[in-house]
Amino acid sequence: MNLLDNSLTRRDFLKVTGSVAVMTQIQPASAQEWLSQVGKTGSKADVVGTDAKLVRSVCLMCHSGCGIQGTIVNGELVKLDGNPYHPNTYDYVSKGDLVEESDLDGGIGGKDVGTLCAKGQAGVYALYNANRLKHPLKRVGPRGSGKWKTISWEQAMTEIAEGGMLFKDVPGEETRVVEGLKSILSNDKPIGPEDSDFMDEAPPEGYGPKRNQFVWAHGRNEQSPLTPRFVKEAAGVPHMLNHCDRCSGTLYNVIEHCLNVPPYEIGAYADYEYCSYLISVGSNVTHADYPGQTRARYLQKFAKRTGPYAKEFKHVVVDPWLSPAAAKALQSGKGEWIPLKPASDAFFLIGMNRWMIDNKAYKADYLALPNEQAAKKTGRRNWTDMTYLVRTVEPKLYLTGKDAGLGQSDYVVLVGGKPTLFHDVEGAADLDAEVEIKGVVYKTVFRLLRERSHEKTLEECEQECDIPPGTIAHLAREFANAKHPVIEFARGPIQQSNGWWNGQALITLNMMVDNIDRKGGYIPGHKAYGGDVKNPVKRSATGVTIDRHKSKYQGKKTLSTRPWYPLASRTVTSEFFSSLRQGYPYRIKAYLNYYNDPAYTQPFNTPVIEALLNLKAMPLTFSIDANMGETSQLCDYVLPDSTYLERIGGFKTYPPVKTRVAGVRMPMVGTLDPVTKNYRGLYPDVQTGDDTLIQLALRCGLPGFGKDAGGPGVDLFNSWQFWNEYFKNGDYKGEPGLDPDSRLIKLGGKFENPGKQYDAEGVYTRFPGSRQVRGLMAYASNVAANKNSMTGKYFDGLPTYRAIIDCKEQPLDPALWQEYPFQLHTHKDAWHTQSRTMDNLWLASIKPQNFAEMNPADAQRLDVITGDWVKVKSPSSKHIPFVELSLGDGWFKMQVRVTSRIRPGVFSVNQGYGRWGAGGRKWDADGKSQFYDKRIAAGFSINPLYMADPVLGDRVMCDPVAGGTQSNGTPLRVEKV
Amino acid sequence: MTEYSPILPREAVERSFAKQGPKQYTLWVDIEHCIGCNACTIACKAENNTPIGVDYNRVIEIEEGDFRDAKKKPDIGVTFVPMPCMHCGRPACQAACPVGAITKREDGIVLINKDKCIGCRYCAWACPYGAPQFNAEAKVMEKCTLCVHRVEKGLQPACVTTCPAKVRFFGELNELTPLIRERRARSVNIAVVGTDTKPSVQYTK
Repeated sequence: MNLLDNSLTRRDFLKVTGSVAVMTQIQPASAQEWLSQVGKTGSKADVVGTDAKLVRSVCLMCHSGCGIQGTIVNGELVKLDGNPYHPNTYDYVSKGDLVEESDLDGGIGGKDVGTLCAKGQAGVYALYNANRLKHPLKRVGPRGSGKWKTISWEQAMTEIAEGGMLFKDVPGEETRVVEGLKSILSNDKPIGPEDSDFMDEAPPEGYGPKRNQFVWAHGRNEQSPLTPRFVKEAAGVPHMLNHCDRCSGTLYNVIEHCLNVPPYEIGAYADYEYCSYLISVGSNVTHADYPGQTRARYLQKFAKRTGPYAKEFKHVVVDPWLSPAAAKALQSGKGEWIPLKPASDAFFLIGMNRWMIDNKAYKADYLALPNEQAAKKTGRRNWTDMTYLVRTVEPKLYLTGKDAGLGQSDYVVLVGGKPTLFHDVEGAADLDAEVEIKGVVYKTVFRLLRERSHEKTLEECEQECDIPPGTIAHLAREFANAKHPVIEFARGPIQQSNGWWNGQALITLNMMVDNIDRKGGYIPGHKAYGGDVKNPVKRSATGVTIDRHKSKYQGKKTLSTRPWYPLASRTVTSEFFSSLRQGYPYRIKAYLNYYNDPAYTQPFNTPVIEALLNLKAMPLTFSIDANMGETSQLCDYVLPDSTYLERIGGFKTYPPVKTRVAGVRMPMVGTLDPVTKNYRGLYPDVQTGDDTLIQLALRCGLPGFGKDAGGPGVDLFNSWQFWNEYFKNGDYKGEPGLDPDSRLIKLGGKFENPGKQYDAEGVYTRFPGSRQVRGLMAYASNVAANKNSMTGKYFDGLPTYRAIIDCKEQPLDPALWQEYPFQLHTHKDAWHTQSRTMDNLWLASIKPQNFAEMNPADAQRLDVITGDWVKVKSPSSKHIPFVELSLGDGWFKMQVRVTSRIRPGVFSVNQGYGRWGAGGRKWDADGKSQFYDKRIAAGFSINPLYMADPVLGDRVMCDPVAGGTQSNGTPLRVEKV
Repeated sequence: MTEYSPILPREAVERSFAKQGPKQYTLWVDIEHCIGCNACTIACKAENNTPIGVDYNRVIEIEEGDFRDAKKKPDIGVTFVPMPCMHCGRPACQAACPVGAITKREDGIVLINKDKCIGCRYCAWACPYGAPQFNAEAKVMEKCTLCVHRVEKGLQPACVTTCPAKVRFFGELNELTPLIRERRARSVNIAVVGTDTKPSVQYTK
């Protein structure tokens, strides 16, 4: 059978391998009754006999990391369920501190089974998806032409590593010489004028070595620490671009700062099980975020039905869209839906702060605590910076003991009006106060917050948010008076240009009610169990990344050509793609796209597509992908990846789960060579991404992999060897690695007793484990210490009353709204992730297409009804040839659905639809048409319609501090077609 | 006169319903807390290996109310209603089938025998709930079997096991009813006006 045959379905696969069809298994006599009653024709239910095997692993249909267990019959994955040992999917208590197999009846037919959401259940389809790539591919036409040829791994590796005139048969590229990865990565000479027209914007130490001209970008990477070992220690480049700027980059950044927690990339959430009053701002609680199904269960089962506060529990959902959580809140008769205008979050959140301050509804005794001993005396383990003095003259930093002339200390407070070193205070310090020292006025953080919040009245805030007058006071009062109040967010308020400051405002509200880390409060996460693989010979990654994250602007020019992001701990990938056009701050030579689809997913994806098509901006591009995604199809080479069900690794979980967890990912199907430990999944010419990276590293002569790479006697030639070593070290010391009989593999991970959620007194969670006792930061002195490199002005360290701003922190021109009166909005269904669900036809069949959702008031004005077509454009949208409904000149055609679930003035298109890759667009390999199903392309994508930054013109607007994209609220013009 | 289905004469229906067992396995679905995530829909597909186009379970969204003025409190509601087969006490599908391919078991589960089925779609026409669906590849009708293959092994239906919000319950009707009362859940009658097929699936809100 020709392995390039694109019609290989799971049933066909059964025929190919000669596996016995499930239905002919021998059944006990009593079980034949139903078989004779339903007959053998048509769909066959999974009949699980005694020769079924259970394999535990970790899902990857989203990023929640739920434990799964697959029922395997004759080498075929038949069904997936939640792994009950994994607390994402099941609630139980173990006997000991660590969960053992005997704690649950979890085998086949056992009474303990975990839950699994729609996406997780569809993993069976994902494994056998007909759109999967089966061989390495090289383009034979210009980029994006959809013409490919199958090549061997040997040829792919050689060409990528060695370079050459790789595309001499492509018109226009006959003499184009491509530098290979081996040459690029062995070049340690510093980046110079031959690589950059912007040497005058480099920091004193330069941009780094020329090997930094290799860039890695991943969308979903759950293969750490192997992948950073490849990028940072083997290739030795700082470019590990992720997708966080369009996702949760600002969220994690601002939480890590304000809650003063280490960067475990986890964020903070409400303790759903035990809170009594929950405000969710821009958080799609039941359908999204992490872990999706766990938050749904905690909310629906505990908070509302069986929790200790079920009777009094109230949920307030602040969202321009009536999410299912909002619908449930209203349905209960006790909840509220606050449909504020997109991008008006600052006014709502700072307004709430204002009411709390003006009405003294905050916990004064808590906010007045300046240090650990004062906190401990009152039975607390955290305190805030509310009493710390801050300069009112730039740079607006905390007053230090040295500057106050009092001695060595990071902070100074007032006690009875007298400046005191913060650690010298036994009890409370002055909360709302100021002092003048050497002619400079210093105010407490609390006073600065109060003054800032007074820049607007509550009426003005409600006007900006377009919500009924009195809403803020009403909610703030209830919030302050609730027994266990908590306000949480996901992407809504922080995926915005003012996102950092919105996040600050929200977290401050939690500080005001003293709920941080508390049972029923606002809780951060934990460090998962982690292993380790030594790396005796590693390079160091240095220099400035193209997106300039974690780099401070120190160039010779006063202002930079494009923004720098010293405080962004996650990468600003939008900035990366847009900077390439200018070659700013230096040109790149090679780009590796791993499990990533920015051409489809980035807000305002047009510049991403333009960059990928640009041979000068991106001379060599290759992608590791399981299918021909939108981004992969614009690259030079595509190396087929295995699916998550054919992979080895591990993953953590998220703060709603309050005990320590590490899931282990093991392949469900395929073969493992008992000697070499080489693993192959379903298709013999497809290998895991891990193996591709290891081979590439060896090809390019990089350290970190190969013989003795993990230490003497520890070879790292393949994925299994790496993970086997990983699961023997760190928190797994003494354990037998990937031994199939080990508790780790049998249980599908290492799990702490799920019942051990709180400290001995039951007051606080036990996390964060390593930094429980700490000071919290309402003020962002680190932000106030830095300047916006585009304006030369210091950033504001306090929450700011702003809506949408450009990279120079200027508000949008109000006149824009005359011509573009709608606000862009997006959301997500439970059965979709960004770019790996619509090509899964099981999931696609739930809702075959999406619509542009519009309020009846707007529909009436435009004279449209559900099903009508409209055209929509933004001030910056451009034609995308791959998108069928792109009309040209920036107009895109969409079908409308009129619904009261979206507030007036908003045009909302949910994510995941309108694809043109992964089988949604025709393409050829070896002259033959490949798998294509137009159902995959159904619906519409809003991504081309995000507004570009008015200053830069070529990139979506981003938060200037942490880089988060402005993901809702931007102007649109909509006309009936 | 009560209509049993839109197309069948009463006598034909009465003849079919002569025997009904003492038990009725069925589902209880709590639509107050159902979040419309469709985990049940896909678990069912994975369990029963249905083709695209056949879904034994579907989740319906009912939007009520109107919201146009942001200055006023929104008066709107959305309910999610999972719809499997109702395993009716008086199945219209059974009565409609011209070849007698549909049985109602002693434990109440209604099954289509796909070997006997001729794919005429009368059952789909008769069913007020859209439960029987046409498998275009096999050319037979199919519907939710209440995971009879799992129930016989003492397991729960796949949709019940997988529900993340824990709103689906399986059991014997006589045991579910007191449980519902104990929870003080208000029963909601999801029935198509003008039909009396006695749907067994219990909905509460």
